[in-house]
Amino acid sequence: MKHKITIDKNAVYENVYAYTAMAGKNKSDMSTYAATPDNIPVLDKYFTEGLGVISSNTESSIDGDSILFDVPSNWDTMLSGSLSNSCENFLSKHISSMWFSSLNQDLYKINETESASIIVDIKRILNVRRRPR
Amino acid sequence: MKYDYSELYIRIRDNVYNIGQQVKVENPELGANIQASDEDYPMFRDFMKEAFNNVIGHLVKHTSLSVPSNSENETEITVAPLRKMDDKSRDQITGLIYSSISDYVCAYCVNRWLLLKYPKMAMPASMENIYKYVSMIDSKVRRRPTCLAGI
Repeated sequence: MKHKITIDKNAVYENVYAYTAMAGKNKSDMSTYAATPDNIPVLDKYFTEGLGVISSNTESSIDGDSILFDVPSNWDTMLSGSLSNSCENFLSKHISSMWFSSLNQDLYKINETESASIIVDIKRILNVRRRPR
Repeated sequence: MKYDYSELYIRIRDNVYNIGQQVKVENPELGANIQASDEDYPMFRDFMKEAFNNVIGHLVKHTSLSVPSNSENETEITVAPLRKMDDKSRDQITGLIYSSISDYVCAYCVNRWLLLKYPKMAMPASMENIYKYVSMIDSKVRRRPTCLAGI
């Protein structure tokens, strides 16, 4: 069966603004590091790329801002919220890592590692099955 | 003895669920793959039919047995006792045969499933218990007293 997760793009971008602003504050260079709504065209590209990463690592397809996960009927639907949160967290980290890729290699690596661990978490959530009754 | 495939499938799913949970410790994806869902029922129904055919094929040598034209989701096996026995014993042995056949069918299906998903854990199902209990209702063998032939 297909399980649809619609990503709240604005919430993801808000996270990206927060992560990048924090990096800008730490580096005392807000204008270089902090992403703003002016950067949405670039962020959109990274967002689409992030959806592709989720899709290629799981059995799923992309439908606009939504991901259609192909899960068996015994998949635990109670985990739908966790899956949605993990997808949004992954996208936030992925976009941040891509944003930092040309600015700071250390920040890029940190965010990339975190996004990779979230992908593992998404797979783990998708592998949970309900106990037969 | 009537067997409902969907009831047997609940048992089979429970078994493969537990095996999947064990496998998940080392390989979560494989473990999840082993845990069967409703979509896998048609395949398991075929496995169950195979298992019942095996039972029938083996029991036919020992007992009188009939398989009525069955529906898609159930099978009926009749094992006719050849030996005279009282009702209580017959009911007890019938119960034992019934559960031993159920156990065999479940084990057979789990084995077939694991051969597809994770052959390392597959273990052939045994008919030992079925033979044991069926032999209880088998006719007594009467032998000629050949040892007395010389007298």
